[in-house]
Amino acid sequence: MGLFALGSIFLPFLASFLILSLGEKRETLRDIITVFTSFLTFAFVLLCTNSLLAGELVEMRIVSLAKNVDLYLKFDAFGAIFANLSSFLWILVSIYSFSYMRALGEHNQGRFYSMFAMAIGSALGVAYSGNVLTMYLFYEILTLSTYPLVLHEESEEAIKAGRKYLAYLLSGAGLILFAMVYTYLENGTLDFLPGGFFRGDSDPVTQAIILISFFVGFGIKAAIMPFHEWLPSAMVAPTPVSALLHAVAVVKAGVFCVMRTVLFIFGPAFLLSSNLWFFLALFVSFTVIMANVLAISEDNLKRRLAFSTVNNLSVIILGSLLLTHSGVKGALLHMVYHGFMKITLFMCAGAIYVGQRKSLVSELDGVGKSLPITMFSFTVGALGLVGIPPICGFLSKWYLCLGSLERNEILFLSVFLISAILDGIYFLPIVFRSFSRKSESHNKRTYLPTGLEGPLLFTGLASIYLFLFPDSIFRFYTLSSTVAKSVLGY
Amino acid sequence: MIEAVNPALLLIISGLLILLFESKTLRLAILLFVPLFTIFQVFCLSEGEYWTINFAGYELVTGRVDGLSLPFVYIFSVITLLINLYGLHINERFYHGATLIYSGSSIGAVLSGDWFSFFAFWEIMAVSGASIVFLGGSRRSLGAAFRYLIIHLIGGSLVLLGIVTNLYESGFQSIGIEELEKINLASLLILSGFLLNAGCPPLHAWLPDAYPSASYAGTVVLSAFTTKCAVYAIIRVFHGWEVLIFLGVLMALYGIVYAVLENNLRKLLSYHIISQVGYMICAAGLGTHVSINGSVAHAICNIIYKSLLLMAVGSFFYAVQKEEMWELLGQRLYGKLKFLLFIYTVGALSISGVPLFAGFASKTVIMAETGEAHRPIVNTLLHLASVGTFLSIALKLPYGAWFGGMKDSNFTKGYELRGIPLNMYISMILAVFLCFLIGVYPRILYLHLPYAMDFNPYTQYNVLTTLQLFFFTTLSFFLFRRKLAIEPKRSKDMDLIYRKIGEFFLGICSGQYRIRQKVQESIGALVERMIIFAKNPYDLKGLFGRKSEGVIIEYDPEKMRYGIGVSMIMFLGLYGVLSLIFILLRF
Repeated sequence: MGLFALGSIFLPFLASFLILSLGEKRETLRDIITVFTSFLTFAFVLLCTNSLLAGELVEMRIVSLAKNVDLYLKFDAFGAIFANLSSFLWILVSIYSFSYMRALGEHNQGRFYSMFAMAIGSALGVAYSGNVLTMYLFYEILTLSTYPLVLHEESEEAIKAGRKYLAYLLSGAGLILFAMVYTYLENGTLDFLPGGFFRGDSDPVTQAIILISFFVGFGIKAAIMPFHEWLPSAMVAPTPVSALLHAVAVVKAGVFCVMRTVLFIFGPAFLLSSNLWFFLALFVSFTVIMANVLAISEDNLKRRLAFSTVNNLSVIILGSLLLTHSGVKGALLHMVYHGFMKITLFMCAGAIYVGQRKSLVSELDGVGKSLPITMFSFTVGALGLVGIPPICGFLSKWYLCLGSLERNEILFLSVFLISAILDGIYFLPIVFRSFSRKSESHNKRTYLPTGLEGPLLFTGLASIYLFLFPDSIFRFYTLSSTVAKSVLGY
Repeated sequence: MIEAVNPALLLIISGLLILLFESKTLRLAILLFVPLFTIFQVFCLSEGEYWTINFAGYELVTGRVDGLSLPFVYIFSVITLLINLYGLHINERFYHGATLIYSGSSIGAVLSGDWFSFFAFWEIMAVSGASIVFLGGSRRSLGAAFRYLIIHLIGGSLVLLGIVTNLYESGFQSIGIEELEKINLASLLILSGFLLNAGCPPLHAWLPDAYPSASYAGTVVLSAFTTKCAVYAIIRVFHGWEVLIFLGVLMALYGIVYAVLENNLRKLLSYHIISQVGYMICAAGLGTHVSINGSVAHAICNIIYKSLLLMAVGSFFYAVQKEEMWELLGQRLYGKLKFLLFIYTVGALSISGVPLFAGFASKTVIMAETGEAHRPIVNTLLHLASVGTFLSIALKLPYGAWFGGMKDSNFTKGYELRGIPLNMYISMILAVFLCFLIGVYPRILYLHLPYAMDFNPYTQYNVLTTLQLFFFTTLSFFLFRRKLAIEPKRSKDMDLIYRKIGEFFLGICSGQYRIRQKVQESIGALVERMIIFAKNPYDLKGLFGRKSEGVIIEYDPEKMRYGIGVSMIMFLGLYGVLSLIFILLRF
């Protein structure tokens, strides 16, 4: 199994170098490599997950870097959730991006696919990391490999967005480095432990500073306000990038690392006794509400979705900060479910752009008639994020609500529910608008290539499937219960 | 075989099939045979628990069949058939699909034995209801559907908040739906969510806003399910709560006042939904076996005659294309729509509770029970509401619609009417038949109520009081009808407040957004200046956003550098100083 785990990180990197060496020519070979690698990677991850659930723990200490610090890979349940999510959605998005990039005649596609594969590989690396240093290494590769994707357009705006992206994320990395070194000095180890390994004897203020440095450092990637601004700007990137990286892999890596910090470095005992969880949760709640308020007035569809992503990432973090069984479980499920639903919405936004060259919400009148499949999937994704059954968003909302009550905090419960209602306020007008009969001129059906509409329909239906059968194929439900149990002990 | 499939699931899946396939034959087959099968199936169901699912660690019961849920399921499945028949000619699969999903989810909510599945169906109901409003197709329907969905999301959130709080207070033991007796946060939240769906003032404004905005057939569909489902839930969970009596009477009167003032035909009937649901809520509040029976019976009868009324008015609207009374002033249409007037009158007499019609059989039970419970004020106020009902539905509406306000004898010369399709008539005739059947032979209704009951509505006292009331109402209407003049105005209701709040909120949002943009712009500008400054340190003023006057010296790094020797000495000097400090610190 160790070979498979290693392989699933190694393969995307290999593919990345292969594609880069192919150059801009041989498109078919490039597509074949991408699809083949993504399938194989997912298969490996799934195999590892199954053996994990069968009770076999995969871990590898590759190189020793310092005393008690190795390049350390460990395949635990928490990582398995993120790895499954990213690698599975990669298959769909790569199929989608073939059609998308061709339909728009994009330039520099070799660089695009190469960097894409590298980003996924490093996201998987983040998932598999067994200690903070390993995670930090992959985290940095992820940041840098996404940079060329953000400024893919190479326009003035894209270069600005790319610069902004780097400025935000690299300053975050600095904070993490500081916190990591300090943690090592305090504890002498960096290996993750369910329930936390942080046992510093120094004064509480220093500990709080370390925690906040970790939180903000990783939180920049998770777009916590006021460090979110890079994400809406990064929407100038091509849609597949926004879909997989800025809704699933990259930003979720930020959330993943924050959760690692909360659950595996500091742990519930420390956070609860120092009451720091409450302040962090309040901080994040502000983002939950504010991002949705900003989304209401945003007219650009992709940027509106970006604000919704900012909101949902903070919802996930808020759920894990509750430090209760249902809260953590809900947060993990929401991480997965939001991935499926948001990627649907982004792919729909891309399909609308390809089909009708429309990117503003105010232009969408009557689009539902011309692109029925796309808008159907969009509706599913939007309703799912609002939390309406039978779409999976409801299940995570349910657990998050239960979780905040287990912590006896009705405040955060109302934050979740208000955020859901605000979701409705900015998503539903899009749906209603697109199906309204106002504009007669665009009612002719536009036919898109299957490569575009297939994946988005698939993820849309998958979000319904995940509600009806929460514990099939990927075993997300069991995995999240396992994580919650291992961290909290119940 | 009867227990093979949950009727709710069957209806929802067949609704999805209609949505997916454009085939007309398939649609017709589903629209007729699925409800028929459902009726057959639910009438064969016996009490018990069916269709339990193990879901995400919960044991979900999606089929709790008992005395209370059965009558609601019966009437929901019957009305689904009537509705489908009524809209059979409509060539729009979205409407039919949404209708089936809507009715399926209502049946599902009624049959749910646990909070989780109940809430799931409750939310599906809100979404499918909103899409039926949306399919009205006009600009008004678009806004109304959006408001409907948002308000129901808020209501749903209240219910969800209440449900989880309730689970928490009971220690997460079971998620079965039990009756709530204690007044606490959880029960109050759930109750307010239910009351929102029941249309209780001041949470009612969505109802008269949304229902008339749907298509003529859509209004019929909407009127049957959401509010009755809320009534079911209130009876199930909150029966015997004193406050419900008060709220019920409030609803009954509030609806009437607005109905008497209203001039839009379907909006008038929408206000009557609020009023009629008031009777049911009031009876649920009394909490005795007979009053619960009365509440359920009234829900059943109400679904039948209210659908009948809305079907008739819908057909009128279909034929005439007008539904504001002031547009119909002076146009006597009754000559051309006589049969429709007959059908409408049956519904009107039923809702007023005239003997021999359905409403009499159920309303008398509630009235008698308010008397039994020694609540004379409630009894009198409900009688007053009945008078208002009779006045506005049986007298004012036909007077305004069919007789054009009797202004002058313009006999609609050259007025083209659209022919009403046969299936609409068949559906209405079936409903008329049901109204008569229950009115003449009330036992058929009483047999299916939650508790056994020996009750005969046809006592001398009951019949005489009702007839007296209606006689004098009719008399006074014709004496004072000039006072009820039909004017082109809309009455103001709570939805005005909703809209104002909404606009205010959106204003805040865009304000926040503008602040964000300002901040971003200024940060961006600052970065720009930093870049310029870094390129040319002479241009210091540029950093503060001012244009430098005069000649700006071009920056050339070569000129600024010292020679190699000087640099070396400076470096060594610095090194020396640092070493000195280090050594000094060591001491």
